[in-house]
Amino acid sequence: MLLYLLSLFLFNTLADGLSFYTFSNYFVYHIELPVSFFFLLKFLKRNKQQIFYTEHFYKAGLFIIVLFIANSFLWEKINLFNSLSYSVCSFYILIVCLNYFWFKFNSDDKDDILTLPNFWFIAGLFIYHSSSFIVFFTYKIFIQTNDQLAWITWNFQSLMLLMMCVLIVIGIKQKLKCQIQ
Amino acid sequence: MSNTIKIVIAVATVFFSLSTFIALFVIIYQRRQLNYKKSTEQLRLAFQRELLNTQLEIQEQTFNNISQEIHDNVGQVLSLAKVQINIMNETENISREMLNEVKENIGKAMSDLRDIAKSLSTDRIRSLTIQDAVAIEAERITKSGVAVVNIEAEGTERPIADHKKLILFRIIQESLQNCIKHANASNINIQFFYLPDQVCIQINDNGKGFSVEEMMRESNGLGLTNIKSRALLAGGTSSVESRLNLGTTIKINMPYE
Repeated sequence: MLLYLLSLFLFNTLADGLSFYTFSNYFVYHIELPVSFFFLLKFLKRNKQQIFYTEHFYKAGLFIIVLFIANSFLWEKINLFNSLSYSVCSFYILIVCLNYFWFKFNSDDKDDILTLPNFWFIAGLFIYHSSSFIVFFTYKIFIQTNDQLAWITWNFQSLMLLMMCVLIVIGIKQKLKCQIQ
Repeated sequence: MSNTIKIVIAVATVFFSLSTFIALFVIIYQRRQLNYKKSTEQLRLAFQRELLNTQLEIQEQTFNNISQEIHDNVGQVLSLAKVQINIMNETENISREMLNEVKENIGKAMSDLRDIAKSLSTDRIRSLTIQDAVAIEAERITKSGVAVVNIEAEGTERPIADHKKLILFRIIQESLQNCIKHANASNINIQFFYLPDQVCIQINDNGKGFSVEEMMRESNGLGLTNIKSRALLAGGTSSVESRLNLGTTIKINMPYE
């Protein structure tokens, strides 16, 4: 999960830096998405038993990465924001998160859910991607129509990203607590 | 702000609220489930503890009964037989009559020992119906001469779950002990009413009775509380009615399963 967060942080910082100097930063998002998504898949696979993440989900995820790369070259080229790729990524993560919540709802846990690090990770991903899905889906349209207020939706997305990071950090804290105990 | 952007922000906010609600719902549901499991587990442990205590108390009572029987009956009879044999030995007069008496006394001691062997242990109680187990206890008390215990039954007897049987037997045994020790009762009636889903047991005596409120106040009514809590733990209910000089009635209702 740290690698996922680190990749988000690095690429977003790079994108912000480029936009500050009025360079086109869309290509950064084309690179960031498959890389961060790959780290996320690795994390989900490593914790597959606790997150109820099956092999089918993993294979579907790998296929989606191929689609991201294909999309960058064939459809939404690197000089455009990859709205569709981000939307598909969000949709995939939402399905994984809902699957987790469904199994948690029906499972026979003996531990308090708030002490489980994976709960915080999934909750963070779920809240971020559910609220940002529509932003990703419509962002390219706003850019193409040169909507001057498109930054408002992107800032909303950034706020949700911050919230996700907070929840993930709580999860990391819980993990460290468990390891110490 | 363009309408499209407003709509996007509104939809995003709705999804954010929905996702937060789902996460919170899962947390609250899981915590409630955990609390329920913890309280169920605590109840189960309390019941196990109570069952164990009941078994130990029954065993203790059995040991007390055995020691009393040996002291009062077997020991006395064998001592008498020994004295008779000593007399025959010293006087060198072995009379047939005295030999028959010694034989009778040893026979009585053997018979008493056989009765002691059939004493009520927890395993024995499990193999009997509650009415039969209480009948054996009633017969023992009546034979000892301290009080006359009568048993009546109405309805068709139905089996009770083993763990409930032990607790119920212990409640009745304790009540009988209280009738003898504290109430100084000479007559105790035990009535079994077999209903379709539960058995109702009524124990009444002609003892000196007591004020239930005063008992609860002075000695914290531990004995009465014990009866009530044991009955509750086994899934039944109990009540105690008593008046000074008018005797005491203990009622216990216990479902079969």
